Amino acid sequence: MTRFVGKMFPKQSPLKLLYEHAIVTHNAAQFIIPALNSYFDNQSIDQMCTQVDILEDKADELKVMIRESYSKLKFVYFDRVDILTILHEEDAVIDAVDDFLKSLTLNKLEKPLTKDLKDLLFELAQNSFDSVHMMTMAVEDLLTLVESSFSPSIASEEDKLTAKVETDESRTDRVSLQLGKKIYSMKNSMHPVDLYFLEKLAGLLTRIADHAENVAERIRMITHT
Amino acid sequence: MLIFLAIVTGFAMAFAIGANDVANSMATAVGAKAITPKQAVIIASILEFLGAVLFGSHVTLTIVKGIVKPQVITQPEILIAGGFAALISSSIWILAATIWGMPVSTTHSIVGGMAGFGIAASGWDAVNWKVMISIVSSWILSPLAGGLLAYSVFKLISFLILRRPSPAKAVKKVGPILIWITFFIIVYLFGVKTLKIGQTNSIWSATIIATTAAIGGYFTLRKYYRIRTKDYELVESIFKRLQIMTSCYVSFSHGANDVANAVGPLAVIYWVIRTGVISPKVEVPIWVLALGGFGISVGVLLLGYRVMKTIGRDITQLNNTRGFCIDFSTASTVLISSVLGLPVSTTHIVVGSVVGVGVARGVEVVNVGVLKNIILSWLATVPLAAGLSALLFKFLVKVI
Repeated sequence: MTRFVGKMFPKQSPLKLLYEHAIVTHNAAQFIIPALNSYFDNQSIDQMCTQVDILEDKADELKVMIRESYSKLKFVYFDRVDILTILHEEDAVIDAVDDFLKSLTLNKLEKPLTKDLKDLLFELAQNSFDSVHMMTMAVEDLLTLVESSFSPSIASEEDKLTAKVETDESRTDRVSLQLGKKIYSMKNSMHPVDLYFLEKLAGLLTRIADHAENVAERIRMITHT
Repeated sequence: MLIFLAIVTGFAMAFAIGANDVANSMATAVGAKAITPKQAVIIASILEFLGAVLFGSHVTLTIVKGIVKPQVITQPEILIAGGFAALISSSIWILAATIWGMPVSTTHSIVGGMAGFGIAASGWDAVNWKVMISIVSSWILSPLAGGLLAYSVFKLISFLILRRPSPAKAVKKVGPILIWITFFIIVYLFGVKTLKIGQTNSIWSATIIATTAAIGGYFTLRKYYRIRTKDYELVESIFKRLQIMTSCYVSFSHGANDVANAVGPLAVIYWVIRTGVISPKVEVPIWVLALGGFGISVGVLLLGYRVMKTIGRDITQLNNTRGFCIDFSTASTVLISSVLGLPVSTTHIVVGSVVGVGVARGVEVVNVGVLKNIILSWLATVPLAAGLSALLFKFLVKVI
């Protein structure tokens, strides 16, 4: 009978696992700027890539645990599809971070970048990281929302946070567009492979922010149901 | 010799209840980390004993008198064999179910056991079907009542405290009222059922004690409010204290309610052996209740600790507000049923309360066929215990 009482509750709260997954994603995203710095300083980023790989494995384990847990739950705080969508998007963030770091190991630029181009690239990287940071906070606030029994005031706080992620993302889009234009404006002075390489880096950074924003959007949706 | 055997069998049944069933009363408190498994074991063993001795006689008599019609069974030997058959079959079924991890109710088992021997002895007429139907309906109604109460209590706490812009400020205001209600119910029922001081005296005593506790709570809350770090931490700390109280309340009421399962048949056997007659009214001696309470306490002390440790480790997502709602609803439903003389199952009320808070979006609850298991155990326990008891009776009646 006691096992029976114990079995009525999930061993680990799927929501807390989701937050853990967000923290792992955040930890991986923390490597974006240091990796970019190391790249331009001609230092190896292999170690960082290994660490992100480890974090990705941990994120995968958490993903499996969340999916398993949700398949057994009868009464849940949020719709299973919503939570699994958030998980999928969080996972896409860490995948994009991994791709970004690995891409940095693929090519060395023939010529040093101009200061304004480099600044834009760093600005884009910072914006992407900021989006991931805000995304993690939004997921953390879901726990408070549940604890408060879906208090309207907490939901409104959550709204502000998700709105901030969306603002960050639109700023990222602007910087990304600027960077794209700048890269293509150098088509006559830059090696085509380098041009393609930089465009790919910009695309990956934008993708990170996009997925972080998708998490925020979904959170906003579920806090209003 | 027969009395000695009856004592041993009754003690074994009480031990099984203590080892397996008692954790239900403390599970949510241990799971929510309001108390440690060690504290839970000590508290439960003391309160189960007190609940059984001070509060247990009423339900014991309902089971003994209600299920089997004494006038149908004319020979004392038949009633003795029947009492043994009911006790042994229930103990075997509970033990087997525990090994398989099946959620069976000790109450259901003993009711089935009593009905089984009655049918084997004198046919279907031996069972008081009116009483049986009222008991069966209480099995359905009690989890529903527990669930509804838990749902309402959680919604009320959500509305009054958790969803407020400042939950700490809200708990400072509402906390004393909650303390008052909790103390009032406990003291009132204690007065009516245990001390038997009557309705008016119980209400007055409950009002005075609850008001004192609420005033004390008000000043404590003010102090905690000033030194709080986070709003929800303050709320949880208040409910942690209330949950400890309600857990004790569950434990006490569990002892009162479930001791009947072990000592009911024992009381019948003892009475018949001592007097040699079958009486429609069977008095339950205090030592029989004490023996039941002692058996439960020993069961808790020897095997309950391991079980509670497992629960403390397994239930990680339960917090004190949700735990309080489950405990409070379970305790209230069990105690009210005890006042009405209905032998309800604590297991099913706990389940009803957990589901009630789950429906109110208070906790996430695992499905894993758990609800299916409830229905299965619901349906299987009574016929299986009855069948086993009938077979045992046929054998014992030849031996005795």
